[in-house]
Amino acid sequence: MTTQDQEYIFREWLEQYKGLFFKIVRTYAVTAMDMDDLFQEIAIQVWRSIPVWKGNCGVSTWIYRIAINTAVSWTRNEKRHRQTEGLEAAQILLMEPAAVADERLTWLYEEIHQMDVIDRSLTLLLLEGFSYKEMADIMGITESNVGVKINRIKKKLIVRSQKQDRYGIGGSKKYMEHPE
Amino acid sequence: MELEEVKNIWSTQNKKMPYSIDTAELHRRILAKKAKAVKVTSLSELVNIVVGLGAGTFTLWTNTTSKQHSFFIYCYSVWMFILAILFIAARIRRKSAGRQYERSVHGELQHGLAVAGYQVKLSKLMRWNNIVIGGLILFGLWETAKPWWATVFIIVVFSLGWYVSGIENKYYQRQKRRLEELRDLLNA
Repeated sequence: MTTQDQEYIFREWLEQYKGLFFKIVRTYAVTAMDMDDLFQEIAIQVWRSIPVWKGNCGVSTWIYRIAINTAVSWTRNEKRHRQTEGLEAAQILLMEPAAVADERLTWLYEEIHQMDVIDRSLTLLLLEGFSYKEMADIMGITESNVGVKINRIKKKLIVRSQKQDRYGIGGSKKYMEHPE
Repeated sequence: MELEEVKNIWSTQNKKMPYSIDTAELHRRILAKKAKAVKVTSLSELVNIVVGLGAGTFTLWTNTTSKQHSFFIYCYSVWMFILAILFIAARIRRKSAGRQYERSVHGELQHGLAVAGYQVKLSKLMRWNNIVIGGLILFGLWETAKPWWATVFIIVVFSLGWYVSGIENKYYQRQKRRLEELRDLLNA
């Protein structure tokens, strides 16, 4: 594969799956600077992975695989990244559309941020509709282990949502039916 | 039902306006990152290989060309060559081991743990190496009857080396422990 081919595929993937990149970045990073830093890391790893991609799984599954691995590693070194690359990250790479913030989505991201990095990854995959088998492949653990963890995550999410008066799942249903 | 609702909240993001990415800036950063691709472990191996070969050759040459030959300095030269060979072998092993891990979170963690374990071993080896090298140099000084202050100087330098390499070793051990915690979390 030539560098031009790699460049072309990378730009295509970036254009087609930018929403996916954004969701992953927002799941693991909180501040704009951290999001930018993580996005850069993920983009670099995806770029490097292009020659290795055999096409035996979908592009989005492949990107999730690369991105989650990168995000988990990045989370481990988060403090170091902040210290060494603060200035470079000052130029923002990834910009969210200037839309009105969705409070229910903000609540969901806040809940995800409170989880440990493994549960965060599984929640992301669960919400994106991946099967237990796909999750097991991406995470490198058994399907039964995925099942146990997902059940725990579901319970935790439901309990947390019930504690929320305004943004809870029950509340959000009312919110969706009667948005003010 | 309840999970479906959470999924609905999540999927609202898909209906939003497309996100914008500064692709030119991203491309610049990717190229910059590729340019500084030399990693700390790799660099430290190379430094050790060059130092081992350089110090071994230099001491062998000075010892053989001087009038007063020192047995311990010969031992030192041989030891430095052995170290350089050990580092070359370790470097080859580390590079080939990196290709064996699967592309999953577990695989990446296993790889991270292998690298961290390697760094712990390497720093421990370098710590004990201080004593071997320091001892050989001290015996060499004693054999060639150098002034007392040279002995004191060597003792101070290698004591400092022992202390600093202890800090380095603890740093790598902490890194390894963090990875082990993450692995335990994944397997829990």
